[in-house]
Amino acid sequence: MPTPNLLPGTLDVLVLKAISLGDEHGYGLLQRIQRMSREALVIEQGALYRRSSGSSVKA
Amino acid sequence: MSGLRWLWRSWFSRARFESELDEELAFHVAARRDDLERSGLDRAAAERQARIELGMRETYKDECRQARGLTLLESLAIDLRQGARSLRRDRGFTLTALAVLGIALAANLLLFVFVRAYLYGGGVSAPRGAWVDIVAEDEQGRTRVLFTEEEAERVRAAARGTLALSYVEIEQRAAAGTTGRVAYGRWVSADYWRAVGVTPLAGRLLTAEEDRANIGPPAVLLTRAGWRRLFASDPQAVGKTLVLGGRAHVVAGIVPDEAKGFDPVIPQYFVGIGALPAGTVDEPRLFEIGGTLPRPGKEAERAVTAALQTVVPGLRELAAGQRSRVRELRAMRRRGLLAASDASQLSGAVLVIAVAFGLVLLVACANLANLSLSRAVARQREIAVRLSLGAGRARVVRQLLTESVLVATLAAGLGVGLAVLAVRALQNFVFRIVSDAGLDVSPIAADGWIVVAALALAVVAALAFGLAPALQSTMRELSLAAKRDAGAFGGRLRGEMLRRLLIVGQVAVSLVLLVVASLLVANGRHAATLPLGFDPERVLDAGMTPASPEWMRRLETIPGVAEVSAVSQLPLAGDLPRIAVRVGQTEATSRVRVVDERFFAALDLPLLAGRGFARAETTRGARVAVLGEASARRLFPEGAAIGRTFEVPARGEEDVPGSAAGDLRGGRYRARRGDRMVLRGARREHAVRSRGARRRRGRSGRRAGRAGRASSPRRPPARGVPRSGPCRGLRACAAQPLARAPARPVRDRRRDRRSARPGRGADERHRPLRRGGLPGQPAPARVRRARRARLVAGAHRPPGDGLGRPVGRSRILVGTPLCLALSLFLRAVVPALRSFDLASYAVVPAALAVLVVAASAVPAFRAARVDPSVVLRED
Repeated sequence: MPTPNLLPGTLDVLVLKAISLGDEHGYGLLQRIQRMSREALVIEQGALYRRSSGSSVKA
Repeated sequence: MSGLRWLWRSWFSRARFESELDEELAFHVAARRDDLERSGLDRAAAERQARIELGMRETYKDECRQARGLTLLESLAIDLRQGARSLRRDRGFTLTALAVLGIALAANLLLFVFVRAYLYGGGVSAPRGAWVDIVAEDEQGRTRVLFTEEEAERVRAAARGTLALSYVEIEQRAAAGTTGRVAYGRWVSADYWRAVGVTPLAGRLLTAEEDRANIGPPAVLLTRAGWRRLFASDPQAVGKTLVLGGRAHVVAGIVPDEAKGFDPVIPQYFVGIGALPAGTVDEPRLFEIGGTLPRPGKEAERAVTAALQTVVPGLRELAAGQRSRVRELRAMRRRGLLAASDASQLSGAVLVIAVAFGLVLLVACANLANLSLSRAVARQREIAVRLSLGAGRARVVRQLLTESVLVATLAAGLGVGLAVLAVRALQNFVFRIVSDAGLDVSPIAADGWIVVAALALAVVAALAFGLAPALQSTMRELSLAAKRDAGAFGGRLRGEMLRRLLIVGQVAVSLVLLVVASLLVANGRHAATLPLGFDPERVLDAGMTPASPEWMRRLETIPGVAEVSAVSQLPLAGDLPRIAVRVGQTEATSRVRVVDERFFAALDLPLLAGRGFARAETTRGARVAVLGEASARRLFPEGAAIGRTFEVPARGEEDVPGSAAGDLRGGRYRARRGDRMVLRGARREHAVRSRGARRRRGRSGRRAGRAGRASSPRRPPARGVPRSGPCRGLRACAAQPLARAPARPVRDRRRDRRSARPGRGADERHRPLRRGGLPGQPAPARVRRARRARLVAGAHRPPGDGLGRPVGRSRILVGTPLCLALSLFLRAVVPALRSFDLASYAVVPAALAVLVVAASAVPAFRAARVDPSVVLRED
């Protein structure tokens, strides 16, 4: 289900922020985002490889 | 640009990209599996769970590829492959398209190469630096590029340090060696060599000492072309003697042909200006001034122009008392073989040719569009299948357009090949007069820009002939029609109307082009028979600047000369200046020629009514005019122009004493003294023929003469120069110094030099008036031609379609305005002497009709051979 309180493009920003901290595989980035958000944000496994990923982040 | 680079990198590192993508997704699954395994799942379940969570890997891969633009390239490659297959399958279409479009593109590319070379210097060998010509503008806004010796010295002194200047005499002709061969050379100052930046192939260059008068035989430099022609490539030529105009010169060196600078003709020799004979008061030495800027750019041009302004007051002092005084000196950048002023004179002709060639390309595109539409009918099922399989209309249109671009690109390649091969041949053909005279034309060649131009034209052509058929053949109705009665014989599409329109347009434009071309040829042929109102074979032209009563009296004494008249501009010598005139409240413009009282007698021109000018009127500048027939009708439509007055706003009122025959452009002749003379009594056998002389007149004529070198170079005077009669008298007459202006001693060579200089002496500048060219036509003829054009346009029959069906009325209605509009346009830009020609208006359309019928007969017969039972069974 789409999370209503997250703006479209949130994942892009999160990924950019996560990758700015150092090179990492896609799976590692997901882990990093979850860790940084103290498990508040959960990202679908395939979301990184999709073009439209607006509804892939769950708060 | 960076996007293209990215695309390029992505495409060429495709394998790496794919492997990295696979590796990334595999790593993702493995890492997730390990995590799941650590959370308690067994390995197989963890693997399965990880794969399910990740989702469809192939879809992700596709999305990644799309994000990198690889899909676009991939589909383009697929389209290209499919297009190539389709073209290979349909060889008839491919070959026709290549031939039609290739020839049309080659014609346009040839024009491109010529324009680039002559106007912009592309593909020609030229001085390395930024070359500028020094141009003087007088108070009337007229420009000139020739300077007297004193003027040139002052300009040279002003620009020293900023610009490498050189004196370049206009042109020299002389008998070289003992062979009597005609040679073309230039007199240059020593700094010319610095300006053009050449090093000698053998021997040395001319030195600054040779700019001053020298003692002993002067030195001459040969170009490679001159060395070949004058010395048959003799390796021992340096040090040998070359006789030029009766004077021995020593060959000091050989320079490459690049020493010509921007000259459209390669000079065969260069002589230092110190060896120039002294000028006289009547005949001063005139120089061009040019050179290379220290660095390219507008800034340097402005710096030179600013430096030159300091000499303007001095030049005005020199010209005190003369009508034309320098107002401004400018450094004008020279890029092509023609100077900017000469190039602007040619721009009209270039525009006409460009329009004609553009129309040829348009006809070719219409032809191909029609063929493409016919193909679309044949490919109806293929397109319908693609549409029904889910391909979007845009995708199918893209594929069809890719096919068109492929054809056009191949045709562009063919066009480039043809153009490159034909450039030299065409240049030799256009300038064959130069070659016939034994001179070499500066070679031009196609440079890399021809490929850019060809590709640009190819894309435009591909869109022109491919877009409409692509859109037409992918319309929704097509797929419906295909579903409804796929493959039905004779299934009618909307494309049929488009096809008909294209055929009509194609034939109409072809007809207009052919008729106009035929008319031009016919006009050229019939120009000699045009009634002029006078006999041009009995009229000679002699240029004097300025014309003086002394010259006139002397010319009258020449045996064989019946009458001498001074005139501002000769009949058949180009456009006359226009002035505004007013009759009552009516304002109009009229062309004006300034003549003296003997003009009508000299030309034996009958007056239709009234009288000519009286001597008193011409000497006192009385305000009287003789109107041409057409002008009289136009200004005084109610008739009876004699005795009436009209107003020239800048001058006041003028009386009309007479009306001349209207053959001379309907011009108006005004009584005043001009600076040219017309002699009656000379016969053709005494004439010096064809030297591009029509372009030269008066002061501005000198500039035009330079253009004449490029477009209609002069024939050697040795051929056909009379030894007796008025021409000889003229030469003798010119050789004598004027009583009022005793000149410095004249050397023998001066005659030859003068002969080559436009507008400076009588010697060999006298010539019969020529009828060449297309200097306008009387108004009734225009009307007649328009009527003819309308008749032909209305009478033309576009061909039937592939089955040879008769043509409907609608096609004629579409073709007629197009025909008319184009013929009207062409008539406006190409004034013609004759508007009716049987061959143009009857034979050409008939021949085109036969061609059209023949072209449509083959498909018609093929269609007729189809067995109806087979077709019905298939249906």
